[in-house]
Amino acid sequence: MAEKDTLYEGLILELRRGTLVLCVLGRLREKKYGYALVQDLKEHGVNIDQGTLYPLLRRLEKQGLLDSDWSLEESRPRRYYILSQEGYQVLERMKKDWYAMAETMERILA
Amino acid sequence: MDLIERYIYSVGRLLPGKNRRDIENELRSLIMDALDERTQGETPTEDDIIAVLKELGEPSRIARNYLQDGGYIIGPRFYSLYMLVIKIALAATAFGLCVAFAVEAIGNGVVPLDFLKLAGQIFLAMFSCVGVVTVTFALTERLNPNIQEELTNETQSWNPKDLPGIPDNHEKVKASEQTLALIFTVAFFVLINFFPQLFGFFIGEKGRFITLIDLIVLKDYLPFINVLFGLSLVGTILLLAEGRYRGLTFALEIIGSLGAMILAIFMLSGPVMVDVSLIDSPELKATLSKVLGWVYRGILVMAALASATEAVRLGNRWLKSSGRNVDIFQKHL
Repeated sequence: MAEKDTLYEGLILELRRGTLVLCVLGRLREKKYGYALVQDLKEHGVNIDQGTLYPLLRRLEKQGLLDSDWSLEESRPRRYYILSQEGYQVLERMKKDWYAMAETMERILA
Repeated sequence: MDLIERYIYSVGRLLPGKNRRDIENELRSLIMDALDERTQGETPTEDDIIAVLKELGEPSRIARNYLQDGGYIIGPRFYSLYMLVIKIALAATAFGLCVAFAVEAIGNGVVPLDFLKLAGQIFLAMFSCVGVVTVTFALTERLNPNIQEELTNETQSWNPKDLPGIPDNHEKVKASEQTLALIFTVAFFVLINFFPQLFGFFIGEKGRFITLIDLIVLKDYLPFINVLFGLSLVGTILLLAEGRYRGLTFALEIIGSLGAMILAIFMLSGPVMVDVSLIDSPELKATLSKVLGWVYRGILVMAALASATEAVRLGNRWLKSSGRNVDIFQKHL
């Protein structure tokens, strides 16, 4: 049974991985720092592994989809991330594809 | 607090210098945020810190996620080429050392210990050979980062119609045969060009070494021999790389064989390439000159016959292979 559970967890993980970027882009229309994004996603029912999310933020920034800046105004310095111009465009396109895909899946699983 | 710094150090240690400081600072700030959330302003206990760090995961794993490359030295794009080059380079290294050893041995003789030395040399040389090839490929991998782009381009320009036909029996190439051929070709080239004085034998009670090849006559033939050598080398390498005969390789090999035949016939009609001038006794000189003259001619006749046979055999294979393809094609029509 335990073996089957691991198999299932692996499959679900694989399935979720693809939606990760969309989750992050979708929630960064307002600037957030890493841990705030973790909390925000959790409140929306997405439990994301921090060891995956933080590196992902850096990667998306390097790809030009996010902008980031250190903010020194609070109790401690924090690195804030926000959608870039390009990130906005990508998000809009991805949303369309997502809805189309969801519809397709609905039909397939019906 | 000590644990946090140890964690950050463990991650940072695995990151390249460029972004390391920045990532470390961000991690520190993120860990503090998580601790704040957990303790709600209280002083965190060691258990709190452990729980927060566990959520972040093992340093090696998070560091791997920060590293953008795939975490491998040579990716799937270059892997098969890498393996091929490694194999050829290893064979060439070992073979080169063996030839050098043989040359040395013929000149100075060997003791059993020398074989041990040779084994050691080959062992070390193979390590450095693998090292050089790996570093070269690792650099190639790093300097060609546009994997995605390359993949899409390939899919678009790829046409199933370009797939090569399955080699029939006449087109099949045995890698072992070609490797052997390659080794002998190279060895012969090296010997005849750089050590022609090694063709000879020991004679007399003192065991004096007598070179039997007339180096002056050889000089005239050498350019032709080397052109044939080059043809053969190109043909063999193509066969090894492609694993099959096709029109070009058939043609190359046939031209090479015919060339060898013509050269042998030409040499038959030329001066005997045997040099007995170094032998003191006039009687021995006369006998040797006669016998070796026949041996020399015999070898050339055999070489000419063998080359002719090979050319005919290859031509036959070539004709049958294309003929067979046509047959199959027509059957299916």
